[in-house]
Amino acid sequence: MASLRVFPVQKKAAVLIFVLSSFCQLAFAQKTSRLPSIEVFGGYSHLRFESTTLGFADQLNLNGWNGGISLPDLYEGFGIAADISGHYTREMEEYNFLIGPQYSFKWKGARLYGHALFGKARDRLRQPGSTQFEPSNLSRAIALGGGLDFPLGERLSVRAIQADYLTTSAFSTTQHNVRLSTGLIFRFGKR
Amino acid sequence: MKTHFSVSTLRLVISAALVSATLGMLSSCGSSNPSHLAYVAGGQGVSAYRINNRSGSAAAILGSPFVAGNSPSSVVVHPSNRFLFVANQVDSTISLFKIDSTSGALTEVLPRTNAGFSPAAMTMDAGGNFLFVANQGSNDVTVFSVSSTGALSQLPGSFPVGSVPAGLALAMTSSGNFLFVPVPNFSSIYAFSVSSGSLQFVGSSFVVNGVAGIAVDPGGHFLYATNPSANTVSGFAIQSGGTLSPVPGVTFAAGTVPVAAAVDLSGKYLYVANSGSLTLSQYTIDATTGDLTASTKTAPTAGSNPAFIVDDPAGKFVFVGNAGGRSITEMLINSDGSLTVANTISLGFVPRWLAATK
Repeated sequence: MASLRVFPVQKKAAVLIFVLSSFCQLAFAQKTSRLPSIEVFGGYSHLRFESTTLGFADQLNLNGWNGGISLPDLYEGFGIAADISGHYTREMEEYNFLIGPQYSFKWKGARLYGHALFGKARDRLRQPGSTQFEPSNLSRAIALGGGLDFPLGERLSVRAIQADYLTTSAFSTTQHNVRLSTGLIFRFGKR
Repeated sequence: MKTHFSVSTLRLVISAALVSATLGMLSSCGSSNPSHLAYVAGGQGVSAYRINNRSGSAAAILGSPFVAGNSPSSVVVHPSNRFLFVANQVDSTISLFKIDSTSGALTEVLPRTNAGFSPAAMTMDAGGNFLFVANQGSNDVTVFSVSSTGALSQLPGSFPVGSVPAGLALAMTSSGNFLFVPVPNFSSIYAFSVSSGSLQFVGSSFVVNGVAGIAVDPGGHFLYATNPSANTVSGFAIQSGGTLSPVPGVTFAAGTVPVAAAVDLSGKYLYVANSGSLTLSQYTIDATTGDLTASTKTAPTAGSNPAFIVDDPAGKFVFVGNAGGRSITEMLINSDGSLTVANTISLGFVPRWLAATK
C-alpha cells in the first residue's frame, strides 16, 4: 500500500493554492493595494462520515485539518472560496477539494457567512483486507454550510465554527456527512 | 488597549465553547445500528455483507469479494467473531482470515493450511477449539485444533467415511459430543463421538430413500435428513451413545427434491430447502418425539434451486443459498415459526455456503 500516493486532483489543488498564495504575497507587499481582501484560513476539522453505506458497523469519526483561501467581498458581501480538507481515522482517510461562492455579512461585531462549494472527494481505505479491489476512489463532493468568525485584531480572526453538510459519492454509494472546522484566519490586502 | 484584549479573549472563549458544544453534540448523537456480518463462499472468493439485525437489509462490505484459494466451498466463523475459515476445494487448503469487526473486511493470514483432498464442508465446536473438515476427494474427515490466534494444527490421522461425504455442512450437536456426516452414495449417515477433537466411529445409519443435507436440533435430541429422491424428510432420535433411531413418524412429506435442512435456534421449527422448486417446507418439531408437523402457512418462496439453509446466529433470520438464482434469500422467522422473505442479495455467482457472525 503506497501511503504517499499523490493523486492528480491533489496536484491541481496544490497549483491552485500556489497561485492564490502568490496573490496573497502580492497583496501583503502592497499596503496600498487595490486588490480585494484575501483571507487564508487554517485549522482543525472533524468529519462524521456515513460509512454505513460502505458496510461499516457505524458512522466513522475522522479528525484532520481544513484550509482555505477566499476572496470574501468581491461585490456586496459576495465572494468566492476555495477549500481543502483532510480527515483521517484508522480505517480510512478522506480529502476534499472544493470551490464555490460565498456570502458574508457582519453581525454584532462578528461575521456570518454561508457557502456552496463543489468539487471532488478522494477516499482511501487504509485497511482494505485481502482484496483485489482498488482501495482509493475519487468522487464528486458538495458542501453546503457556513460559519461564524470573530475578529481578534486588524488582520487576525478566529473561525469559531464552520459547519458543512458534505455529500460525497465514494465507491459508487452516496454519503451524507457532517464536517465541522475551527481555526484562525489571516487577512491580506485591503479591509 | 486592555479593553481590546479582553474582548478578544472573550471572543476566543466563546469560540472554544461553541466548538466544544458542537463536537459534543456530534459525538453524542451516534446512531445505534445493530448488525452482523455474513460471508458467502463461492466463485473465486468470499463475498461479505453487513446485515441489519432489524430489517435484514444488507450492505456489501467495501472490498468484497475477498480473495481466498481456488474454489472456496465452505466458510466457518469462529465463535469469537475474530476469524473466518475458508475451505478451498481445488487447492485442498484452508484459509484463515482475520475479521475487522468495524469494516467487515477480511485479511488472510498466510500460509494456508493443507487439508485433506478436496475439502467441501466444515463445522466447528461451540467452544471454537476444533475445526472438522469433510474431504470429498479422500472420503474422510480431518480435524484441526484452533489456537488463540486462529492458527490451525491438524490432529493425527483422518477418519474415513467410506465414500464421498455430502458437500453441505456437517452436523454437530451443540454439546460437541457427536459429529454426523451424510454420505449420499451409501445413503447413510456416519456418526462419530467426539472427545478433545478426537473422533471415534459410532456407526452408520442407513437412510431409506437417500440422504443429502442433515440438521441437528440445538438440544442435540433429533437429527433430520432430507431424502431428495423421495421428496421426504427422515427424522431420527439421537441416542445417548450417538446412534440414530427413527422417530415414530419416520418420514415426512417435503417439496420437490429436498436437499438441505436447518432447525431454528429455539429448536421448535425445521426448514427444508426444495431444490426442485422455489419453495421451503416448514415444520413444527414435537419436542418429545421429534415428529414433524407441516405448517399450514404458505410455503415461503426463495430463489431458483435453493441449495442450503443457514441459521442467523441471532435466531431472527435464516439465510437460503439459491444455486440457480445465484442469490441469498434472507427470511424472517415469525413468532409462529413461519418464514417471510425479508431481503434478497444478488451475488452473480453460485453460493456454496454462508457463515455469519453473532
